[in-house]
Amino acid sequence: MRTPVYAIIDLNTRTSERYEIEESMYRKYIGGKMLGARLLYDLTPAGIDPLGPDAVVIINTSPANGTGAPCSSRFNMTFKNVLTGGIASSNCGGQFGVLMKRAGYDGIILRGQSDMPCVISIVDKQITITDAGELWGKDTEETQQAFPKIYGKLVIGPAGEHLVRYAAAVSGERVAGRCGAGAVLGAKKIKAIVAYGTQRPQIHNKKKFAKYVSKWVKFLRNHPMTGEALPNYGSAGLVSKANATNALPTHNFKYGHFKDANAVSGETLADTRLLRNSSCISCPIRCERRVSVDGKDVKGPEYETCGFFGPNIDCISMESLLRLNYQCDLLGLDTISLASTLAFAMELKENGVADFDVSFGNSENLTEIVERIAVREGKYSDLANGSKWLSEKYGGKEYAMHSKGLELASYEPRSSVGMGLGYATSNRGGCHLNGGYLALLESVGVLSMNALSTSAKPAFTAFFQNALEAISASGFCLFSAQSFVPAILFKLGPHHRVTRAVGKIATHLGFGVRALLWMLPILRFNTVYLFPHAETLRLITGLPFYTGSFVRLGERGYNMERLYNFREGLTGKDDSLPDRLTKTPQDANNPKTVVRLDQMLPVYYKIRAWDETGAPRKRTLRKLGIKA
Amino acid sequence: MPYFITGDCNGCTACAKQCPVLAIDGTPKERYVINIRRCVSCGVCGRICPKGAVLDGHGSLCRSVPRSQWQKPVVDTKICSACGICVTWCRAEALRISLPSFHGDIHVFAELYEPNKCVSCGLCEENCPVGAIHLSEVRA
Amino acid sequence: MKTIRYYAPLRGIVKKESEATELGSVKDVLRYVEKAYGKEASVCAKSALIVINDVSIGLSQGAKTPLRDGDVIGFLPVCGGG
Repeated sequence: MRTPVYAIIDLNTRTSERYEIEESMYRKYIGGKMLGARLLYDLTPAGIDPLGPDAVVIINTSPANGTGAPCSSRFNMTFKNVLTGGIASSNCGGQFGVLMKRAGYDGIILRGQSDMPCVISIVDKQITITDAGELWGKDTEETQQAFPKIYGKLVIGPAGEHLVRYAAAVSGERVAGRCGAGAVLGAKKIKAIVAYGTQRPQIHNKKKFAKYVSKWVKFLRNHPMTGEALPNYGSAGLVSKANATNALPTHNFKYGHFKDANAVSGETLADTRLLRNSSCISCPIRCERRVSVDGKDVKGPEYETCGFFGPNIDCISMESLLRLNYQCDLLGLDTISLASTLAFAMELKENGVADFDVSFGNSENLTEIVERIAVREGKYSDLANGSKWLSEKYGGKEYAMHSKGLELASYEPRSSVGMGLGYATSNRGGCHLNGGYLALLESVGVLSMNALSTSAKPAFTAFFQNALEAISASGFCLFSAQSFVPAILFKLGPHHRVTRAVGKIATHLGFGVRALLWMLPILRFNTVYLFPHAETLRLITGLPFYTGSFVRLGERGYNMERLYNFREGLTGKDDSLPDRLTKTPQDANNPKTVVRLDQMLPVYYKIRAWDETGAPRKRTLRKLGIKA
Repeated sequence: MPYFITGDCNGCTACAKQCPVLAIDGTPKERYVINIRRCVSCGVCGRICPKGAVLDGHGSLCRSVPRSQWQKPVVDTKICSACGICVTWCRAEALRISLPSFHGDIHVFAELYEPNKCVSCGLCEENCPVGAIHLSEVRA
Repeated sequence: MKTIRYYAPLRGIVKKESEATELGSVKDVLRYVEKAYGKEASVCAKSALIVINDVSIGLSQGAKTPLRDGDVIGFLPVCGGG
């Protein structure tokens, strides 16, 4: 079997060397964020500065990338999290991963710092580092245009150059947004990484794989979510769903409902500004929005961006939303952390604590302010550090909406408490995806578990955190997992008694899911109705991945990430949420509308087989085969 | 087996401009060189060369073929999953994924959008994961 | 007076974006949609995400939820994202 080949690139000496991933490590961690976490743990000592010369950045792929399997474009960046100090994994659907594999490497490991801004070229297995020259200072679009169109590219913009803590890295028009992916490249003075080559992907069983791909594509196209809703409205379609269940963060998470949410909803976007939908490579779902900004055909906003440049700052301008989204892409900025930090700054002004010239309901001056944040101009340099840093300097910790330092996503957890648990326990910080995305089952999906009940949430959270981890690490986009919700429920609708009954049953199924997590090895089958990723991975690698072992793979990755966090000094105390979410009910008349972390965390720790402080037990690590 | 450019080359640059994997380099009016690591033996340079200066992977001299006789890819839309892998291989930008005909249209396919740009390299056919593309004769 | 707001795809079937009504509950509106626009419209309306003033009826009394003056009842397409 061919095991992954990486290259270690030393930016001080501008040299590189081959690094082969040993077979047992490959079998255990597969690729992407899981293998990334393992390598980061092994190759760096504890306590380094994420933006310092000892920091290591791993950019890697997974076995599925480049094979043409559905939704298989996603590559990963693993590094020490600029915002939290723990693990960071940022995922991107751009072309870079596929082309880096064609260039002959499954991953690259970046060490050291270049003294001059540079460009790394990976072409036909040869790695050359040249000066970036005039590219330094340019936006991501101009930077990418400097290279041949068929090259894979990963670049940073001015924000990454200025080490904005939530700067992003851009590949094509997709973005590795979170945790400071752009800043860690900027700290190494890497302006761009380009890749090109002709190496073909390795597929163990080509004939069966081709057949399964066709089967899976057909399934995705016929499913109401992946075949209709997502291509029609994109993830932006969630605005009205979140609003309908009081889970749409409004006014810096003070409220969960915004009466003018329609102004920036996916439906309105489709009706008024959508040019057409599009997609990442190899994706039949095609949820990307194409819109026109200043006469240019550009990528449109995702749900989080709609929520955070809309209701969360009390703004209703679709034009501003589209413009700011495009601007963030050009500058290389995470829209989530940026907009959430702006909301916090607005509340600081509202409370008379600090004035950054931003106020709720005013989107007119944001373009200008975002430009200033990107280059850390004057007092706006403070905003470039994120809401946690701001709250430590100015106060307002109760309403700095982050967990561990990473800003929460656009789901108000007081109306979706499982999502709240997910945010608090997510390894990279307040992330909805790394957190298990229970919002899909509690509020924004067709199926609704009781959003305020806590009994089943720990088990469901652990299960889905594991599953999503395995899916990500195999190289797939998480939207491809949305089809596990049976199509029939969409045809019946959310209010049908059958759908409501399923939701009710799920609300009390904590026991069942907990048992499922124990019984995983028994689930030695694959079905397109649950995780087709497992079968696809099996046909590509030849390794025995079945539903059970696939989820167990994710469990291992999840624990590996947590192990890294604990080595870096994070503890169970960091599994937290701001007071606004745990102490102030969203609905003043209903004391249940808070996130009862105090109730859910102990149960969650037990299910995860961690001790009462939230640390992975030695026995657990041993059972999962993780060497500490 | 990589192709080779002989001393008969006059540096007209035709092959370099069309090589689908950017494997040919040189100075105009001087003999060009094929990167043996990169060459995928597609035969485009051989078909294009006006001077008969290209040898194929077995060392035989390549015959120049008029453009009108170049085969073009045909996509079986029943099989095509619009994965776009073919598009990523097409340097000539002759292929694209068809545009949706209405908002949310997912029944899009690879299509030969600019047939005149196609150099008949066959990389699309070779790399299609589901075998939906085949090069065939273009009927006049 | 209350308002019924139609979104895609129901909007395409009933061929209007909104209309005024004096009906008193969600159930009544659903019956009305079936009577006025036919079976296809009814199936579509019943399977939509039904909201009153943009809040899901699942958070109040479902189909029994009453409509008060000034309320807007909407039929949203069902979907999800990230």
